[in-house]
Amino acid sequence: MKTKTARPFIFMADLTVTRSRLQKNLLASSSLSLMMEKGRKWPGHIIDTFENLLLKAGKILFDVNDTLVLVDLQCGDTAEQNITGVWRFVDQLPDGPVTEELRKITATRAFLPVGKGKFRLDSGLLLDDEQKTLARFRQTVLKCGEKHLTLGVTTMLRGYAAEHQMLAEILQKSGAQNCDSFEDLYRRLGISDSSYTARPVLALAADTTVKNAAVTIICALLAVARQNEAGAAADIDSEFLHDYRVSLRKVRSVFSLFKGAFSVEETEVLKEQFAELMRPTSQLRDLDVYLQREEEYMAMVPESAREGLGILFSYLEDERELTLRTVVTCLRSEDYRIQMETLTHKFSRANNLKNGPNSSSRACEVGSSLIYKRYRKVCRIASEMDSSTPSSEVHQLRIHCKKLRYLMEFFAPFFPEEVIGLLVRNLKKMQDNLGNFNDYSVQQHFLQKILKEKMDAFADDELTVSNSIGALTAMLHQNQLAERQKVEKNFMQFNSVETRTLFRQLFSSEKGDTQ
Amino acid sequence: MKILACYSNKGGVGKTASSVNLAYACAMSGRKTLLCDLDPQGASGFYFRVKPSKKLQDLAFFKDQEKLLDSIRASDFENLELLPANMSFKDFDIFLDRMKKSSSRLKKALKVTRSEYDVVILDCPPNISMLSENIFRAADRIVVPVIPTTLSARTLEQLYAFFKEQGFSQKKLLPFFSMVQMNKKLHRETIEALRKEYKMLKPQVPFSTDVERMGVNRAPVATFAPKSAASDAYRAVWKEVETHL
Repeated sequence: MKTKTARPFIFMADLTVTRSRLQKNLLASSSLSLMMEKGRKWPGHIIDTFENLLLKAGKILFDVNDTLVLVDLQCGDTAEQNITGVWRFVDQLPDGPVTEELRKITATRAFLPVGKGKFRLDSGLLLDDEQKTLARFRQTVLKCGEKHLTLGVTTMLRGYAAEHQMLAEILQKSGAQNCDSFEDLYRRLGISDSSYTARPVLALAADTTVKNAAVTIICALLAVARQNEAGAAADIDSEFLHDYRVSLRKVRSVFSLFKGAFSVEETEVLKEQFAELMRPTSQLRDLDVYLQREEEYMAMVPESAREGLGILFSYLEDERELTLRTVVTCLRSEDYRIQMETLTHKFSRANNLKNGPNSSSRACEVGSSLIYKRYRKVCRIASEMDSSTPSSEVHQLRIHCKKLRYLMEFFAPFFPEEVIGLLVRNLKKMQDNLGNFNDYSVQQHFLQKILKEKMDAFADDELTVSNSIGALTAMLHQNQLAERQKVEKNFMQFNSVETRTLFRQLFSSEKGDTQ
Repeated sequence: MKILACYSNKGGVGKTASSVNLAYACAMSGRKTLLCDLDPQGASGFYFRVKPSKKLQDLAFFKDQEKLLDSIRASDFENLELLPANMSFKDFDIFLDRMKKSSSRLKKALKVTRSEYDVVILDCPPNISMLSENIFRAADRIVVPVIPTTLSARTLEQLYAFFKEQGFSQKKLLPFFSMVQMNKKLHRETIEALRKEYKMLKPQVPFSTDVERMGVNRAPVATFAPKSAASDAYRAVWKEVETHL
């Protein structure tokens, strides 16, 4: 049997909810009373990630007086944890209730101060005539510059639901409002609400031409890349560079997927220009991926191979330092700035680009056709696969899946959001599988390259490191084979009757077409 | 979930004080605790400022799971909730007498709290009756406060004899000395004699004005006199009880 629970009242108020104000709103005839304890004022910060992942998850995090306070704005749960020293990533925090919650948000993004101010934590009780506590509340009074806000939450005590309701009503009469818009919270504190997303949703009119759609998409992707430049150059976390590179890669895929949107000559020039833009950062990204997996790799190899792997990782860290310097110099260079500004300007208007043979076709129709063709291709390759299919074909399948995913993302505005979302999710499992297969392959090549070209860097440790590289390569190969085994099963799951029907209904020109 | 009864067939030995302070110590150790007041006088509830339950009248305690859960009240302390008594609890024996399988009714009634609590502590009224038989069946362990006097020693003897006679496991009984005044020769001698005869818990709770002041402060002794000998003693008793649960 379930016990009755009541939702806490999560509130914000422009003014401080004071005891005198609350007492005034408590009926004079009531035998109840209110008690409040005012906390001390401490300087502190509001913490979030670059894209406000915490706020998007309905949470707010304060760092006040060496204590992290995480408030869940949906259920009112508050977690607290003492900290010492500087931290930016969740794995730099000791275990604790806040760490546990932050781990669920992100392991890779840096947590940064997004607002600075003075904080005061008050607590209050609603008491009966025998001084028994019937309901509680806590409120944080924040003062960020000129902005002033109180954020609070009540706690219902078992057996006192009516009294809790009464406290909520008294708080409301005293100026507390329901905290139902998380964005409003940051706005009231003067914190710019990050509208950043690595996957911007675009507004494309139904009759948009292929060229206009391509320009709109590239323009949005360039904006994403530009928003990540500063974070990547400051090396705040590796996701800045990752998002930066993914958006540029998507730009390049627009050129190849939207054939004929621009003139052939201009397309070639632009393709090369974007490839050139990405080149300086590719090594840094490879190193990031490797270094992020240090723990995983250490666990994969036998104890005897760990020493050599440790030496290898320390070498990779040094390499990363050097590579980062080159990337930072490049991203902060005048040449780079001019190049990006020129490209941004170019893609700000469709007229800045020469027409290609398909410029004026309707994007919606072209998109449908491209998606359906690519989908059929994926199905054909995947259905012909068996255990004897060479790895090169598995790689081909991965590339087609990725292109299908990009196409669905690019043309998403023309189709019902929930259906596209469902199809992308269905595809994702297979993509993850193929992605892992590819990653294991890339990682083995990376190790082989070190073995062939970089062993001088290890001097006396050459043998130890080579043995470890051997052990890790063997494990990576095994994992790659295991991923390979999953491809057929994942395709069977992807290729369900429901998915086939949806693809046909949404993208096929002949709606009765069957596979 | 474990059920710990605080019982004595003799009145005035510090049962309620023990129930309240052990429940508090149990909750402070991080266990979700329910203190169930079975004594119609409702003293446990009084100590926690919780008013008597109005809903849980007559047979409802044994027959209406929803009402039983609805009657539970939060205390002012983390992990500690209370099921307060009311005057209709004085008729528990009459109700139990009328019911089938009357000696296992309490165990059945408390089953509904199983998923919510780690420990349920029963503050029991001082008599040997149908209710106490229910308590002996339901409880995993029974703490028995014993004042080191001749009369108390006799009641403890009677309790062990009753357990033997009725076939209850004597291992369930965890007697400990309560309201001890070591300056009294009789107390010292009784303690020595009883320790030889029974497996008494090691810590002993001293006679203390701090425990008496619980009635004024209406809170467990550890909350208003945390460094007192009585507070330390209850904490120590709990630690030893914990090893038996």
